[in-house]
Amino acid sequence: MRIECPLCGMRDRREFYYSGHATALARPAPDAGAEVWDDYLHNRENPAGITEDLWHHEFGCGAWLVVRRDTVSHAVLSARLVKGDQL
Amino acid sequence: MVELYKTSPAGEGLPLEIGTVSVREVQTSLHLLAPYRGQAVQAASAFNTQMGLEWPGPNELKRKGGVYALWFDHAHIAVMGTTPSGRLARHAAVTDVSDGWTVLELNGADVRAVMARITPLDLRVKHFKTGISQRSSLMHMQAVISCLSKSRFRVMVFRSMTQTLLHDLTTAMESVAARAHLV
Repeated sequence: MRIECPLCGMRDRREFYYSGHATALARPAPDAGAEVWDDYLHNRENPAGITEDLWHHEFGCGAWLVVRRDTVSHAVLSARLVKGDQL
Repeated sequence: MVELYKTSPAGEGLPLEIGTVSVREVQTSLHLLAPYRGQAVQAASAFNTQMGLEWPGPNELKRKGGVYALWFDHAHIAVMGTTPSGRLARHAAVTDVSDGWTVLELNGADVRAVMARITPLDLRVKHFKTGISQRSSLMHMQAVISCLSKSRFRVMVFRSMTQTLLHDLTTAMESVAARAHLV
């Protein structure tokens, strides 16, 4: 498996650290309520198909990436920097 | 005050020569530059004016005589071989990390074969050309690997990992040299 880092180029999977679904970037407002926060912290989709994860290029440029991939075919479709997203 | 002495990270472990590849230590100053938020363009321009070198983009190594400027990670570039002008500090955080990193230079015909045993980078000549500097793993270490010519590389790791680096390099060099006798 390889991921194309927007900065470093095509790199081996072992250079990256996986950190769960990209939903972690969509942090709710502090006063959004218990239900929304519970959903944000604990509930994740488990799709058969396209999903987006957070990966850290820890042995490369050190940037956090949002990687789009297909859980059925295992194809890695794209990767973009988290930096620049509205956080 | 206690008098402090500068010591070499590799000490007596270097220089080293096994098979066709030799390793030596490069004693150099090393500064990291990180542009302040929104100051990337100004930092690059000031850098160009004061150093006479272009700000290196991702995976680039710029060189002018004994001064090297290389892309370091998503937020930093590194300058080796000189102390960046204080005026750069208006646009970027400048940090002296000379004593935090070990810099080795590998030279020899089989240098790419040796490196191929310890890093997942594509080391083929047409991909890893002169003037490219990449971040990657070197066994279990986070390394900076720069290509100075077809058969000459610079490898940098955290200073605390110098002995591990020497061990891994020695093992890889011995393996490559041993295979040369089999064919």
